[in-house]
Amino acid sequence: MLTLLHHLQPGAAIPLARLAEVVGASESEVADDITTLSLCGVAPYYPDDLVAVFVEDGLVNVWAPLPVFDRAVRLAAGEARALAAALQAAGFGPSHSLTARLLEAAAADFSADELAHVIRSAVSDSTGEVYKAIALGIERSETVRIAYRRAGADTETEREIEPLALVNDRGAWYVSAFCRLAGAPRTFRLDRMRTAEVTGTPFSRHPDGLAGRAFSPEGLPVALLRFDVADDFSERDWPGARVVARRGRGTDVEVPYAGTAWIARMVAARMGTVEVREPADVRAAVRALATDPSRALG
Amino acid sequence: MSDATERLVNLAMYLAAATEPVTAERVRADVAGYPDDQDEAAFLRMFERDKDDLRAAGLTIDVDADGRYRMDSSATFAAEVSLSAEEFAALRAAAAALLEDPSFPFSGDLRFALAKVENTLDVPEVHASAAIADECPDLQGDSVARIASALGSAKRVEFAYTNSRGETAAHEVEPYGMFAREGRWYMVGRDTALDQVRTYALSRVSDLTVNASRPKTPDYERPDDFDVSAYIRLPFQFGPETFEAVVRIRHDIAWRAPALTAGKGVLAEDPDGTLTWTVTARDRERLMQWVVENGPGITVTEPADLARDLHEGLARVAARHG
Repeated sequence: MLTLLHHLQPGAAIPLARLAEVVGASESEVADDITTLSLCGVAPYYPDDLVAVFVEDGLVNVWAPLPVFDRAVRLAAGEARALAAALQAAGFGPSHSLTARLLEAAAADFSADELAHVIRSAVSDSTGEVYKAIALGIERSETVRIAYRRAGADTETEREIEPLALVNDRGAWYVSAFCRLAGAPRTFRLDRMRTAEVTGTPFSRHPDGLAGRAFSPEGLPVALLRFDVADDFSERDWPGARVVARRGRGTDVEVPYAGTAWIARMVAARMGTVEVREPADVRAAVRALATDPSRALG
Repeated sequence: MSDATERLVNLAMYLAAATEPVTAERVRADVAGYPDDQDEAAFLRMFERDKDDLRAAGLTIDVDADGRYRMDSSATFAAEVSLSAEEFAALRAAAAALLEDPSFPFSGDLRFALAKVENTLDVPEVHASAAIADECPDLQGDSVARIASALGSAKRVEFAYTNSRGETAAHEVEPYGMFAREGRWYMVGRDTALDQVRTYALSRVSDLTVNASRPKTPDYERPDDFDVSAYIRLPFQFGPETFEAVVRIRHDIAWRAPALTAGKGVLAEDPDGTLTWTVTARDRERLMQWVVENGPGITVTEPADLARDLHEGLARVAARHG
């Protein structure tokens, strides 16, 4: 409850549901806590010495200044660690100005740099700048202009996207969005964005839940691949893949793919131990890539 | 709210409002919630626990030479946090995503941290989700939270570990660090029986226990120069054969280098912006695979025979798809 006291400013009427969300408790638990909080205060516990709060119609009402604790308490060591680990997971390392300023103000005795030597919630700290723009675009429902390089693509494209949700999958961040260039829902990986900038142009969130499509293979084309050695196939490398037949030491697998360039490169990278059986255009793309090392490697 | 919490809030407010240091006796007399019929020893034990709880919540409570207590306001209260709208949005998105991720070990503390640093509770709806670990996320989250706790207090852990060959053995380890990579959490620590620093995948750990004896006394000291980053490897850095590779990263994708190289090896920039990356590798096939998967714009120049193998491998791919 000490965590929340600084939010109880005179005149505030805070939805009980919001407080319950913040502390991760039920509304009835928070209502009970608020009622008991109204009995707390400082000696000699006259009415003006108590916390002036009450719950009515689902709102927490504050009718007078708190006797003390009108400012936020600093982060405890565990809280600072959690915040630093979360920021690092989002691409803000210990030396990023966001992390440094936040922890300096809220947890002066905590060293994010020291923590980074012990706990790493992400391998790379490089996505923070684009993460900020995407997060703001989602909050404000404003489009974001990105400079993006698709997996396996030769060139970068500039796109205006309507960002819908940030998704972390196995440590990598993606944004589920409606791409105005493609005119369709797309998922973009943040570490493939060179730049991202909020445009100030508002958009209406699609009511049909496009954000949930981030990693759904539904509707994607499927390629049939033959792996010479069954052990070489791992579903972790081929999201959504399905084994359809086992042949001797090898195996046939159906792999959904969003882009031909990506699957062609994934197959070429196996140095001839994986073959595209179908469709013909993916097979041709692999051949074209592998016959021109300057294109495959650059 | 329980009587205990009511007493804690009263104690916190009392110490915050006190204009001078106070004795334990004054606390007992002035703070509502300490039982009147409690003997002195029981009161002091309760008071000690209460101070520990308040300190754990972020309050700085000092004691002077005369055994009197005061709350250090400058150390207890945060300075105003000045972040841009973009920065607050990023913070909220990261926190919201990880709060719901069972494999993120610090969600309880993160919830309170966010409540403390937010200037307002009236914030926009956040659309974000996370799955740092995709294999048994609940199990990994539980293990990593307990190991994080053991790390903080330098306590040994014991567990059963099943290796990739399906063999299970008991281990006692002094945890030095943890990292998440490609959907899995790993612990790095000194195996006391082997006297070696080893890396363990937490998805392969079971029956984990933390040494509960003398909880406030550390079992070991982590080496001062320990850096968990040194134990995070790229896919081609596993294997028996160690060699140095030189990889060229074309100037137009040089901006991707921090994400691609993950801080490994040494990067040097040519005048045209092309990067030369010198990095330790241990698996030739995996290095070739990594280069092609992450291209175009990436190639190997050394070892020379590996560069030749890369071209021959691509020729095999072309022949097979001819």
